[in-house]
Amino acid sequence: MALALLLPACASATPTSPPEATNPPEPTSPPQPTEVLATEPPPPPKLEGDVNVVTWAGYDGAGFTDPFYAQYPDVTLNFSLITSDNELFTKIQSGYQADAICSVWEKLYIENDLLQPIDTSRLTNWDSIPEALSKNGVFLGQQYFVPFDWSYVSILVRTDKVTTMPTKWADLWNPEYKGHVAIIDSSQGAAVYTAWALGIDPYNTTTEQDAQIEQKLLELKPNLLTYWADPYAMMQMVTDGDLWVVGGAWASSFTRLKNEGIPVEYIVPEDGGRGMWIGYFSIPKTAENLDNAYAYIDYMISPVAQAVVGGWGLGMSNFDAVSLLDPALVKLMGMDDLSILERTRFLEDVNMSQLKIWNAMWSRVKAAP
Amino acid sequence: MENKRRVAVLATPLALLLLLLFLIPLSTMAIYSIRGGTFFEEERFILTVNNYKVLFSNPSFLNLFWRTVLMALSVGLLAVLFSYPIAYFLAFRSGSNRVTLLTMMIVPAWTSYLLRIVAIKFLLGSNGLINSLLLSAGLIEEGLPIFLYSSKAVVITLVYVWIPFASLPIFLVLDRIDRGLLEASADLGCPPWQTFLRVTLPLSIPGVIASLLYVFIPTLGDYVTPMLMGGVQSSTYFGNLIQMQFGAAMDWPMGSTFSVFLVITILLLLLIFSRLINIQNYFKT
Repeated sequence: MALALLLPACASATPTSPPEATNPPEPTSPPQPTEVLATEPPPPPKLEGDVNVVTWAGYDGAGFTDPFYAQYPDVTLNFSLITSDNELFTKIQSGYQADAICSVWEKLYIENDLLQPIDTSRLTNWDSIPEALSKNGVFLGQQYFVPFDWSYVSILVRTDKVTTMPTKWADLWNPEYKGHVAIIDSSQGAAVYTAWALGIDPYNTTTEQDAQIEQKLLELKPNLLTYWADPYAMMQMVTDGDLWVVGGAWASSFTRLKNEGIPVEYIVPEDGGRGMWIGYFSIPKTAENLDNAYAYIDYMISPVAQAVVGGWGLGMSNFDAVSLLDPALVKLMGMDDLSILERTRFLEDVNMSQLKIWNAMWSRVKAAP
Repeated sequence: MENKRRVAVLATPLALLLLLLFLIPLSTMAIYSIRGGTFFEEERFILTVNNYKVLFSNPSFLNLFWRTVLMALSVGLLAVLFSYPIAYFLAFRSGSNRVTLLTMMIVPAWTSYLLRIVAIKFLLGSNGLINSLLLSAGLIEEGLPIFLYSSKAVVITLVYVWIPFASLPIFLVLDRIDRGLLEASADLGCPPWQTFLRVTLPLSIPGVIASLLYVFIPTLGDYVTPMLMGGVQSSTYFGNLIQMQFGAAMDWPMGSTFSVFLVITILLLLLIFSRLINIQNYFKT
């Protein structure tokens, strides 16, 4: 999600909800809204009007909106869909009126003073969010971000196609997979995974190390089939057997392919393990429907909405929803295990100067013959 | 005098439109290309030619530009090559079926561009129709991604997409050719192929050039097709580089610099092109 760069033209032409939204993995029976609502505390206050949400395709699906409308029939959710954090940031930065946004980036919003602090007492589900997750949303002593979902980032392997299983990030360069490797089309992703493969700390690089990363990425080109930007297109290439080793794939792609019976594995790379991102909700300063924004965010971290996220194979921020999921899936993805925060490498929040270096590097790498 | 005023009145809306929707945005882009930062950075108020330095000091960017020109040119030439027989048939041989055939050619072009690209992917992929056909015919052992994710795939897709559009200008020119000239040529003893080479083809050159430019110029800036059909190398052409700067890289000044470079180079190429083939001569007649 964080690093997705669906092409804009495609975004406008494709239906707003991906297949995942309508087709959750088989073993996970989506919870009946009424069943869960029955366990929810007192009736919510009567709300009406709009909520303008800027979020990712899929999060606008009926799996999320139907139970919300059952609870708040007079509130209308207006979605504006983005395909990358860059796009979201640009939108909010240029003054777009939004009541709630879903981002992975944090620092840039704080640096540019674009958000208002969250009054967590207005979120009935707040206490279900573990502190290990919520503490990442605190800036200047105040909670600005509400953790919503998280995902691993790792290497996805089509097991029946490779003779040797890759075991580390550096294996993306293994000539055995020549012509069947893809990495994510994202400057941050590409730079970070390459730094991991080189044993460099991606967030504290010297100029020489930056050059080293760039050189290493150029060396990867002969091994690549393509750069992947759209997870669905990437999954199709894996299904077709054209793509064997995918760098930077998300857990949701893995669970989806596995559910379709494609022989895939999602490795824990030896050189540092899986990466991880967290998606947060926040409220921009431009918000006009504050009550509705809180109601919406509270709903999105409620077990009903969180179970939809979990069904996709993404991590949930509300661990109360774990009981609603298929135990096999929970175990497979380690969704009930907070220690993953220590065992994975966090895809750190970026600042502008770091991003600029990566972006310029990525332009050069992609333009190179 | 009266006439002049009328012309002025009639031309004003068009001139305003051109100014508002073409010249001002272009100038904005040109100004952006000499700014130091995009939105919120302090450097955005600094005017600099640094972006142009980056463009010209990096051989990868210029190299990519020429690869793009070459790709667009081959797409243009191939599209014209395939369009000419279609246009010729429509103009001279279609008879009473002309409207039906013309519609049949145009209607697929009304389908969403993306849908057509996806359809092509189904044809070319390793589980695609072409591979399945070869497999079942026993010609190959296993599906090969021979066409997909390569510059070939990009060119094939673009040529396919452009053919209906490229056919039209040629068709219009062929259709206007005075049939009397062809009869005269035949009466004077020219075999059909000579009539074609000495009468029809030269008279249709304006349409061919229009068609070539019609394909060449938009292809130079196209980024969707390479993104969907290209491989590692062929997924990045100059249009993608520009799109990257305005999208993910959030570097509008650099993107504007690439765009200005593209616009100016296209203009220069057109100028040279029109001098070389003396384009005006064809349009005078």
